[in-house]
Amino acid sequence: MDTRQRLGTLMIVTLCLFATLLVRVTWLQTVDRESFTQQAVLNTKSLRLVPAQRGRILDRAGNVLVDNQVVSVVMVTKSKLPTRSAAQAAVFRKLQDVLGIDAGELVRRFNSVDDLEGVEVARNVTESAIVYLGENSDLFPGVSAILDSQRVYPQGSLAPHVLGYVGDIGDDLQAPPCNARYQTGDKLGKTGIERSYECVLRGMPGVVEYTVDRRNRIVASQTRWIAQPVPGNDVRLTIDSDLQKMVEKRVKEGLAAAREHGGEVFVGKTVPPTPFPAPAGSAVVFDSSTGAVIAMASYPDYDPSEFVAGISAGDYERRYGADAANAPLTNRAISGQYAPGSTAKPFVAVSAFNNGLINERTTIEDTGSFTIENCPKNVRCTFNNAGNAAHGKVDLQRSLTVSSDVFYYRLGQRFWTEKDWPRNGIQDTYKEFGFGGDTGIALPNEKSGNVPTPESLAAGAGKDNPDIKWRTGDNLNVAIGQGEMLATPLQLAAAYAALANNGTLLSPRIAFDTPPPPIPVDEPAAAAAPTSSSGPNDSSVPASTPSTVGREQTSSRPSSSRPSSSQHSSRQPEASSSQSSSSRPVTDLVSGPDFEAFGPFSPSLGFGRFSVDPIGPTLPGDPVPIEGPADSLPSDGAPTVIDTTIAIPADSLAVVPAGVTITRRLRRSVDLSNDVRAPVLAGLRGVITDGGGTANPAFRGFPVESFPVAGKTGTAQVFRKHDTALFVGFGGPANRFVVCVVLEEAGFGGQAAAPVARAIFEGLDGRDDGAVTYVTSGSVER
Amino acid sequence: MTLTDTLSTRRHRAAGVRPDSPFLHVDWVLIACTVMLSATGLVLIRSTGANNLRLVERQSLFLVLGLAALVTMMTLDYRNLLDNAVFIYGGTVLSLVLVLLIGQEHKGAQGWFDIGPMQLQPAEFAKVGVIISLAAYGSGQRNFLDARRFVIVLMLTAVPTALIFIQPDLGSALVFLAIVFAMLWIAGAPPRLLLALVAGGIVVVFAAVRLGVLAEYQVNRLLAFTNPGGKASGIAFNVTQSKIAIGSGGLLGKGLNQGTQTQYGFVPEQHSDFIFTALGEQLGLAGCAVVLLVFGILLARIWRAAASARDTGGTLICVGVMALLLFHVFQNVGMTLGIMPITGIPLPFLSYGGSATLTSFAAVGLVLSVEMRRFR
Repeated sequence: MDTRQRLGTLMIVTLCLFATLLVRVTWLQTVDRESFTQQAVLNTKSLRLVPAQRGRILDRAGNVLVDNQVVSVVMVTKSKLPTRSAAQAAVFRKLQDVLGIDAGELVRRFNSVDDLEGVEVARNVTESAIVYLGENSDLFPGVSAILDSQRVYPQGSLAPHVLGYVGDIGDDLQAPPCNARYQTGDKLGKTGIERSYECVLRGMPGVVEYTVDRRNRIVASQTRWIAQPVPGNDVRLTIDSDLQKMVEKRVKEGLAAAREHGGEVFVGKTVPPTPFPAPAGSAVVFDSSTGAVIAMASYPDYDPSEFVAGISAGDYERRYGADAANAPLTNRAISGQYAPGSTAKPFVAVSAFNNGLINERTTIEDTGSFTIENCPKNVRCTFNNAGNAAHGKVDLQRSLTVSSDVFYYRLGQRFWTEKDWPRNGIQDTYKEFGFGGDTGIALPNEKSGNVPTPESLAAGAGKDNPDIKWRTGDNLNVAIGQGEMLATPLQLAAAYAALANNGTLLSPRIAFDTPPPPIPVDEPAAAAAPTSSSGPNDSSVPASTPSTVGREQTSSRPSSSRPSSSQHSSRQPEASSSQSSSSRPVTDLVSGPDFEAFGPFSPSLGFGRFSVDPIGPTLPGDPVPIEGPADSLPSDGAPTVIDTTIAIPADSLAVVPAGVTITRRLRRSVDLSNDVRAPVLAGLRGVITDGGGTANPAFRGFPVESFPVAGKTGTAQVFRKHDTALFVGFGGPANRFVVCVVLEEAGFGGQAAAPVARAIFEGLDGRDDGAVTYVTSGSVER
Repeated sequence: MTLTDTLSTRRHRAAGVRPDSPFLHVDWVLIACTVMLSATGLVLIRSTGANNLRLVERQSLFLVLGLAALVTMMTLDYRNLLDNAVFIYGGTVLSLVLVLLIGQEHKGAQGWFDIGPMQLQPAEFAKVGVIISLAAYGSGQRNFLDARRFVIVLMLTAVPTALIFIQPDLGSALVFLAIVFAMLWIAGAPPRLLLALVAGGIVVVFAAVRLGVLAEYQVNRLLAFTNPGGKASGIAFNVTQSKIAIGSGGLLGKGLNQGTQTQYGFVPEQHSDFIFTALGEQLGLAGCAVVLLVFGILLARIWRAAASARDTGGTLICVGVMALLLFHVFQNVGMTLGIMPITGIPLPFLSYGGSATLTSFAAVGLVLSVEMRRFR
């Protein structure tokens, strides 16, 4: 091989190497281009949500219960702070002088969050401090002041359990409500209406696109709006503020009155009486015609404004955590589960009547005690009336008026031992009246209570305990609402409403119908509008929520209705026509060129990178609570809920403006013929009016002629605790108002709970006969 | 012999200039290539950040000095250089020994002399020195390159290579292997000896990794190439960002100063070793193809000079320079494209850097010196 040939080889090698480079670079820049472009966008582009103005919460009359207020917040931005730690400390020391907050505390707050844009160190800062900081900004590098919107409660701590509160998203980020977009540091409703109507109240957050460099510093000139925020809608509650205030007061009074008395604690044997602790209670006022909850009180309560500025984990745990006394955050009206005691008897009577065990004329001799037939020796066989009172000859009506346990013990035994009736006949009727299942109210954390059956007992005991069997005594307990039988106050109210309104079991409503949640505004306008985004101060964009996103932008809200994703969509006539137009902006937002590259959610990055994908074309439309009523209805073969938008009746309650509608949500029509309803209602009326009625002393002097009231007392035994006092009843025109009062460890229902209910009925009748008093006269009845 | 040559020869003959006068045979295309690449480099260095004006100023100075070096080298008769190769070789080795003794350490390698604001890297100049030295030895060997001479050539190369290797600067050391390989090939070395040389090179690299001669970051670069997910994934990240930059450039690029990868610092060493990513992202496939094409023309012209050189020494010089530039280009661009490991050697004419720029221009000047004297 001569030199020329070898030079040729060298040329060939050179050409090969260059061809390799060319092929490779061409491959990267053509075939792989798409993926690399996406990765390049992911590197630098970062989206951040700008919260929209949150909707307000109004009461029935339109009074504002929860409003927004703009406050000044002082932020510290790490990248703009001096790098030397001594200089940093000096900035915080100077801040301490201005804000009056300890520098150590400021540093602690600053270090508690890792957010490139700035960390909030002080809220509700005075205007003079803000002015000072602004005029001396050179002394405070890295310190900035922004305006922020926060919740304010004009009515103080009225109905806190219904309203709920707003808090840091925290773990909810993993499974956000209504499948919407959230990011670290967002606030959202944690409980109550704030939670269940989160998607309505929240509106549609704006989207700002940031560009960051390798060190995650924001390139200010590249910041732009992708979408403007759309304010959330107001929610108008069915709660009547005045009535709510009154009910809360009456419950508190009733508990205070009970504490001045005492009784025996049920521990299976007789012990000396002790004072009633009466630590907690709740009351519900329910409209039996519409299903609207007019008042819902739970005691002890709390002040939701404590949560506005955020509450430290330690404080929260100490005051509201699992070990806090009496769990003040718990809404006992829906989350408290109590043995209903004698308040369950009307349903047992209906069951016995419908199953043919008795008719309205059937009587038994109540001797004050009942002994189980063929009773085995090793179990309890004799059961007594409260106080061993003998009521003599008792029929259905009388059994309710005097609350004869023996009457119902006998029914309980017959259902279990006689072959002619369904063994679970009582339980089936309970379930028909809604016990053992959620009522479907749009409030989170509703409990479903418990209706014990032989099957549930066996399931609970498991295979290892075959000895645990359902006995006659268990059926006796079921027949008087004791033992494992549990109900929430709202369940009782809804069940009694079905007695009051001829057998219509309604799902309680807590709010009037709301407009559907907002959807992104017209995409070209929003996406192209570079509004006020190129300012030199990069933090101005996310921070300017209140100033740039005022309520005046409501006009940009699309008027088209959003199709409901819930199954009960009978009130969505325009659903199909609006589907295409309203879902399009969402789709376009998702498929916009800048968004394709955004990968899955990465909450680990403090700097709010998020996925756009979760916004599907099917945002939940209707104010469906998070635990939606459609899903949480009992699975006992209940028919589908039927919604009807109805007119709001004119009544003694606050006037509801025209145009506000409420959807009456029918769960089912229960089997309640007039043959049984008449004696049951007569018996319940007798509880109030008859001289032997268990609530007669409490209602002494009540004008039942002008404001008829019927009801039932209940006294539930709780092991090692004082009795739970209950009263459930209804009154007013056409039995309109159902009132349920449950007081924990407060003694007999007729003595502790009935007076509270009486005071509430007085309020519904527009009167006030003074504070609740404990009834000491009359017989002790369950 | 081209038509232009003939015409200009006639014209100059008419003006009384001898037709074989070297300055009638300057390869202006070759010079134009270096100027085009250098100008592109300046623009790209400017585009790698908002505060790069100082770098642009310094690089402009380097380019002026480089052009001066080029003119100086082409003015000098390469045969005089070959005759004085002993001194050049000695000076090269001496500078490499001195830098190990009194030089400054940058990026973990003892390879720089700090002279005022300038930092000189003798390893760069040594490349030209070794090319001249080997060419000088080779030009004396008219006959078949036997094993003994082969070993002598290797020894001549091994001394400066080893001195650079222990700085440690693996990338530059490998350049010497490429140079000596190409020059031995052209000098007529038997293929089996060359294969042995390649095998030896691989063994040396492995040994270097194993014995801890290299700085840790250099080892990591090699490990990152062989195992991207391993403990050196930080370096793999750099390669990934480099590929993202180039790939996202697409056909026409994002436009100068518009590259997000380039502008926001996602690629390391963008103004120097990774300048090609700035090109790929901002000027796209079009820019990359043009630059590679110009490099191709440059190398083709050097190859032409090698083929037309008057003597073996001239041919070997041109081949050495060609190997030098080819290795730099392939290794550097290949690194940014993820097909070669990161070894930290610059892209000639485009990357920011004084010593490398001077060396590249001097090397081309050397080729010009050979080519323009092909007729006498």
